[in-house]
Amino acid sequence: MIVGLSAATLQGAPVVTQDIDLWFKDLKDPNFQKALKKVGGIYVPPMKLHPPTIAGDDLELFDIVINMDGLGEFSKEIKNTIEFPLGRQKIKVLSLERIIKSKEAAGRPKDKLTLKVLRDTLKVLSSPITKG
Amino acid sequence: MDLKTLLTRSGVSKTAYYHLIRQESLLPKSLHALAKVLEVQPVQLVETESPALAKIHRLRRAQEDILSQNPGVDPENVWHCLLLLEKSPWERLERGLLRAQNQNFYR
Repeated sequence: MIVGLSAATLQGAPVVTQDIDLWFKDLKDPNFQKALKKVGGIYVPPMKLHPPTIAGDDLELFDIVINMDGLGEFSKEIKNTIEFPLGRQKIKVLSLERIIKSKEAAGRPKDKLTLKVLRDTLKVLSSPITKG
Repeated sequence: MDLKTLLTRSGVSKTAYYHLIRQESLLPKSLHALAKVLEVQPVQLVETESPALAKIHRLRRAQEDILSQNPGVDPENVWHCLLLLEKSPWERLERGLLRAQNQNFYR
């Protein structure tokens, strides 16, 4: 699933993001390796203090997330996703409520800066006007 | 402004003026018929506002409604969110990524 500020942007949050955070259930899944190979990518496993990552042309925008501060495991949070169509696929995107919860838990200075925008966006999305 | 001054300045004759005010409606009967079927006011069918302007007005009304229901939200956040919701999710993401690249965050 897509998480982080890229997920928030997809849902209408007016924030900027430098990358697209992807949370996988299992990095050892052969389908993950197969998909990476198809797009010319390579999985770089975690080393010392470095988290796992993806290498390859046009893949530098993607970041791998292995856990989310303040949230449950993947199998629990997958139920808190919204699907967005992309071509013939449906891409799972973590809900804004859960993104906010993870930012609150992370508590980094840059997370605190974006929280107000994310909370206001949630109010806009929850408004009867935008719900249609 | 009195009627005489109005007619003089606008170049409208008295005859034309009294003809106008005696009309039940200045809109064609066909427009009234269309409006009746659509269950709208006839004047709504002669909107002369440009689509771009109409969009801005619509979004402003939405912004005002949201602000009135949610004290404390930042009006700019609401405005930019509403603008983004006019775009597809992938256009929103593209915009967020491009802006990050253009801003050169760590300069």
